[in-house]
Amino acid sequence: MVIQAIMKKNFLEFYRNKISIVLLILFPLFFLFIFHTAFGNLQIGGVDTYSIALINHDQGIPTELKDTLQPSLTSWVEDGVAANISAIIEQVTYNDSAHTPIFSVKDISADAIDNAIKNEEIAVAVVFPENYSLLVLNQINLAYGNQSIPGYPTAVNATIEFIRDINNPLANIPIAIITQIIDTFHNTILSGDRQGLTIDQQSVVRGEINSVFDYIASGLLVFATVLAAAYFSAQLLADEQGGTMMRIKISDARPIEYVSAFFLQTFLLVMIQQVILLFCAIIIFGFHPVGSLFVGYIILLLSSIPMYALVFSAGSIFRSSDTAGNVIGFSSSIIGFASGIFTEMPSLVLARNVMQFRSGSPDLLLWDLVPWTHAVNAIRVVFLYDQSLIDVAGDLVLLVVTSVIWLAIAMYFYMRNTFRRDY
Amino acid sequence: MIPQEIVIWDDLTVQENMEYVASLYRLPADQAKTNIDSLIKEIHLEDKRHDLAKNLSGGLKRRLNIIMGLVHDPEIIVCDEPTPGLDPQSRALVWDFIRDLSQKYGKTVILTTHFMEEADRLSDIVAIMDHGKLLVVDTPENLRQSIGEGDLVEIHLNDDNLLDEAYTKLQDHKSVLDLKLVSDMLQLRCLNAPSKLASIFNRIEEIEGLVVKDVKIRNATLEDVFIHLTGRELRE
Repeated sequence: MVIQAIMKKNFLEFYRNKISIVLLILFPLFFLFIFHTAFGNLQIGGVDTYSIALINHDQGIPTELKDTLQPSLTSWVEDGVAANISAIIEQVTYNDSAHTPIFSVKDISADAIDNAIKNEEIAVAVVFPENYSLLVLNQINLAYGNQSIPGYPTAVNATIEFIRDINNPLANIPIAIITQIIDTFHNTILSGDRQGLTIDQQSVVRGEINSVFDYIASGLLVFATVLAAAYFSAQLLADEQGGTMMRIKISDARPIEYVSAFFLQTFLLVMIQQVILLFCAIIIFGFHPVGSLFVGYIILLLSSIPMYALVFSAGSIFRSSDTAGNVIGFSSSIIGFASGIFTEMPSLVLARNVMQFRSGSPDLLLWDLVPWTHAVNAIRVVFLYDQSLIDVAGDLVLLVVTSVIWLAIAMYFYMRNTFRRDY
Repeated sequence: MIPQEIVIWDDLTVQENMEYVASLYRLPADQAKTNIDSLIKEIHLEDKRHDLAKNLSGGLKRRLNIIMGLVHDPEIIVCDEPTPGLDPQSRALVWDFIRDLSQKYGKTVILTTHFMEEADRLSDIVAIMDHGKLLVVDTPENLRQSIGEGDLVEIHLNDDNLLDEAYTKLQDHKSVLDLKLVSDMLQLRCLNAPSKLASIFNRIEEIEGLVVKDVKIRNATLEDVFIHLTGRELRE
């Protein structure tokens, strides 16, 4: 009942205070508008052709199976699966009038890949493993109940390797397109249409060319939670300044009830805020997320954890709502830059090769200390490159761990400073 | 407890402020409604019930602040300076309300105040504290008598430079029971003051060029008691 009453009071204040709408909704929308105006039509890489290398170690179909498979499966049986996919990759073009090729495939040996990437001769190298064709046969076998054709291989493990410069975010674009080509290829085979294997080129390249706005908008959605921290900090301090804490202390209500109500109320507002922002970003500003909106939404909600840490830090440090609002508001831009929301940050390495479990750099960077960095990485990987929640699990673990540690410290000082004070 | 600061929520109405505080005390809804209706009526805020608190005048906010501390119907009420900044009408209303709390509803009210008149009017027992130290506890009547019998006479002269000389002249006047030099005036205490004034004025005007410019006769107040007990040095 007390929690409900505190939430009701907070919602009434939110509803009647027009500034709150501005800070939570209009301000982030303004940022989206500005960046949409500036970068909305600027594609990452434009219609540039990406230089890539295709390293084909695929041994193809074993001779003893070829006779079984012929004549129903023609070209890729003869040449191997990787060779067929490579041919498609070389042929795909943009949907422009000139049909500009998306990839320029360089003839580079496996040994020369590192140097070629370092010298920016290629953006990415795709390495097909030697048992890749067997893998595809195995998938067909599994799809048809392990008995479609006698002698099919089973339990094959193979991974296509993408080699790139981890500090080059634009390398993700050719990787995303190639991944989609391969997926389409596999789906076509597994769907049973194994004859001819014609792939609709247009469907392969339909949405993978993200604009710079798509890149920034993903981060701006996370940034909205940083901006919300300024408002919620001011609200928390206004409650203390206005005597709410004193009323609670002299009443039968418990501090934990106040804090719980604050968490619930602000979380509901963040949920609503993010739905509105996502809706507006897509409908009004043409934000084009390739990946799952639901997964992205989950990530956005998780990015409210560091928001709480920031809010309660402000609550334990400042005594005035104006000061808290101003300082956190000002800090939000610094946090925005530090977490890579507006631009890629330079690699300030603290430790090498200790973060291999996440989607981005395997090195521990200075920016990793800012929890929002992990939210930004995760949501970009999901929204721009169509990865799943599992693929960004490492980033989310980092987000939650860094945020919860910070939040625990902030809560300790907040509760100590606020509710132990004598009135 | 009724805090000295006005602790209300500007973006809530009078009714919502009351309901919110009632819920902090875990009052059942029906009891909360009864208490709120009664208090709003007692303090004359019925027509402001649905107004936002931020639109109330300072006096109305102070009145709301008072009843918010009473919504849970406490037996002991701590009132921390309830009337600063109130106009005379509002102050009178609040004083009546506080007096009713003890006399009509049998509540124990502990009132802290710097207004001695407020303490005098509202209290059965007054405790005077200075620098955290309890100096005296008694009824207002006894406290007033404690500084001596008679009337207090305050005399202003035409020349403040001669105050010391006038003070010396009156020191041995037989009617003057107590004499003080207080900034720009002489303050003395004597029995039946009106009948003694002519004699006192004559003594003062024996000093050449000195005449009495103004005189006030009044009864001793709790303020005099406070000054008597704590001195005239400024407090922090």
